[in-house]
Amino acid sequence: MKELSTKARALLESARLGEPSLAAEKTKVLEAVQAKILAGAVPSTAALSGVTAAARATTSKVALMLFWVLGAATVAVALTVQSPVIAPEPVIEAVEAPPVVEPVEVVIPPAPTPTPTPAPAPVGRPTPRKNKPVVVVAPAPAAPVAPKVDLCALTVELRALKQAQQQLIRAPDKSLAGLEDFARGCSTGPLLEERQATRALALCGLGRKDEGHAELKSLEARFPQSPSVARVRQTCR
Amino acid sequence: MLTASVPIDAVRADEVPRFEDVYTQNFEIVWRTLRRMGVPPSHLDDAAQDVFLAVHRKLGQFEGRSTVRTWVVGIAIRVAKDQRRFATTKGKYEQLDPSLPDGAPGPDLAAATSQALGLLEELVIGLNETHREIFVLFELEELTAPEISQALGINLNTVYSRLRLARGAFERALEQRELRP
Repeated sequence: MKELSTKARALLESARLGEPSLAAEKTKVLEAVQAKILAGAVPSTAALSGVTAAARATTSKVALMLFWVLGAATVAVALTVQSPVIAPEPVIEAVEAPPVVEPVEVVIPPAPTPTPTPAPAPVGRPTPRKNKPVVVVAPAPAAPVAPKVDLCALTVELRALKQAQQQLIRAPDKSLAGLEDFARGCSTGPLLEERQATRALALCGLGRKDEGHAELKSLEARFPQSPSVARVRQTCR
Repeated sequence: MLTASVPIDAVRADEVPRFEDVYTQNFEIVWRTLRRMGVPPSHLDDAAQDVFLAVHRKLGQFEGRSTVRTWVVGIAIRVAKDQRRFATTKGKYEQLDPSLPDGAPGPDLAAATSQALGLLEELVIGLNETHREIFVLFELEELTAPEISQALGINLNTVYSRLRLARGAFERALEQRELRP
């Protein structure tokens, strides 16, 4: 078969070098996916055609809000979240019964700050349904379709990372402390690459450049392809 | 980019991969595939969520007949097609602007690579859907022909024949683009 010309091949290679980092998108989408999984609303992909873009954007936002509110307010509860809060009208025909995470036990440690508050009703919506949005209990039923997902670890890791990133500029000491707190209980995790990069940036932000460079080296050794390596190196110069 | 410490495609056929590992190791390829298949920037977030919600829902049924990456890419291609079909029927999408691909390189990246990425995305978006999916998966994501055959559910010979046509279409588009002032 005829190969691509040298010119076309060179274009592909140059473009590859220009690929942007997707770290922010990776975290953001994971948060939204986890929120939807927690809420039990798992739309089928084939259902896209029945959903308007606006409704879907609202779904994401409300589900995310629910996720954070629950995260902040709940102390070691097993919860089952039903879908009413995030069900925009046009989506209903498309949403399957939530078979996958029904009910998944999620243990969320106490959040650092506020006292529990009820989830606010979505703005611009008529009265919410009478269904209770959060039901505590329920032993796991037999035969779930999908494997159990360790939502707890991921949820906590996400929160730790997000908080550390938010504090990076104004309070790198707090950012670092938060990351180290998390790492004491869980040295690995799906967001380890992002955590290491944030830790290196926090160390450099505190003027502890030697430690920052050591963290960078470790990041580079573990994730040689990581787009964060260049970013951290530039910041820690 | 494969970043997780556990190589997910090394799991035994009778093991179910963990969702977190699937996500971590396949997010980038899913995002790029969706973008290159023409999902507009404003819809990429939702489309990626749909892919991974589908992955989460179906993970228990994954039989290991293909690699996890191939399976996930197949889902991404289907979601991208659904999105485009929806766009076509509803006329809801904004006009794609190939000169501004999502996540376009910032000022810190070399102008040359930035221009190359913009040009590449322009040329790829100009291919028809059949050519584009083969070109993206083979030339850009470097899947093998058998992997593409599994991901798209098409015959291996069809993959090769479409790849040949896709390369030709891409080369012609590149030449025409260079002739433009």
